[in-house]
Amino acid sequence: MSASSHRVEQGANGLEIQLSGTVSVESIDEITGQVEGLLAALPRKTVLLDLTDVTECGIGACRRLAVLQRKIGAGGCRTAYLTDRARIRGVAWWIVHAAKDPRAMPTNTMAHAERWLEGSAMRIDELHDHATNATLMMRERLAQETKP
Amino acid sequence: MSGTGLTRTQRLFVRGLHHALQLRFGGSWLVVHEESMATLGWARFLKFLKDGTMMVTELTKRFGEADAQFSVSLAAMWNGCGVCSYGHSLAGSLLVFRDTGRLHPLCPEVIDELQDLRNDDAAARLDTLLAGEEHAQLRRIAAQMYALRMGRVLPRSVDDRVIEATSRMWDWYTECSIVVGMTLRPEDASCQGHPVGRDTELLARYGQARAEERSGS
Repeated sequence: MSASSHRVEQGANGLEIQLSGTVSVESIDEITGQVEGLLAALPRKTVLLDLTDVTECGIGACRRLAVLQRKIGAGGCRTAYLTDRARIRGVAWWIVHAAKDPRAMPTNTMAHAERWLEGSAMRIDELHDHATNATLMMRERLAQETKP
Repeated sequence: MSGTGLTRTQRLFVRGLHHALQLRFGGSWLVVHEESMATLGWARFLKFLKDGTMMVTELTKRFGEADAQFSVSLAAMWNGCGVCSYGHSLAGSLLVFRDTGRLHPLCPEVIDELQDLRNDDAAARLDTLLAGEEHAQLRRIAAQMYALRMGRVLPRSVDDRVIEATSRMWDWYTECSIVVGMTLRPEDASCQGHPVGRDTELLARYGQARAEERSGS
């Protein structure tokens, strides 16, 4: 188990919450207290949850993060989760689904996170559209390949 | 949070589907399918079933049965979801064991370990695990899938398009499968949609061979 730390920062590009190590329920409660006061005054309604250095997040902390995500969503903000481990990416998927916040999305890279925060799509629509488009492109290429 | 908000017709349909799939393949999809129906609604849920089946068929035609299963496993693995990453790697591994008597380097336990590594380290570990000519195709699929996911390359070839579509399809699937997949253990994997998981004699021989591999005998 690695030591846990967190940082909440408000910048020109919205709110950035950075977590590292093993995420604890206590740290999420502390972050929630800080974030609640900041959400209403955000000039840009975006939140980046940077979980790049998170190594572990138990189910209790996941539930607390889902509660925090609901509050962020209720504040009208778009949220991107940035992760660098598949396990923590699973945690991000679980949180956005449990929170039922359509404006929250797990992302692969900072560029992906920025695109999501700047966009206006809802998560499930985007997932559906990307899957549908990729499938159509695949079918087109397969059809070209089979032409004599 | 699973399955809440379904109408009576939706619930009956999902239970009937679950029953039919269980008879054909074994395993259990009830919670995931209830969650999917509740989240996506009728039209997208049915499309999602149809497109997922089509994707596995296409992967099988292109890369063969075992590598198709491993491709799906890897697409789910990058999302940290155990439902498909463990289940399809078990199916792939069983197919290889059935056909060659050899143990494949990818199995639910290895997929589980990869999920704790940083992305680049997991990709490098995959490359090492899949060294050797017999794994050349899967090694290439794994490397290209990772590069596409990270936006390091654009899809150009037909294979790229197939790999990209697999990734995108399982991103969509993860939205609902994660309700089970985040906490699933590799030992609880069931072969997702592949009948090889119903071969109890094969499962027993495979389990024995993996146990011997772990104990180094």
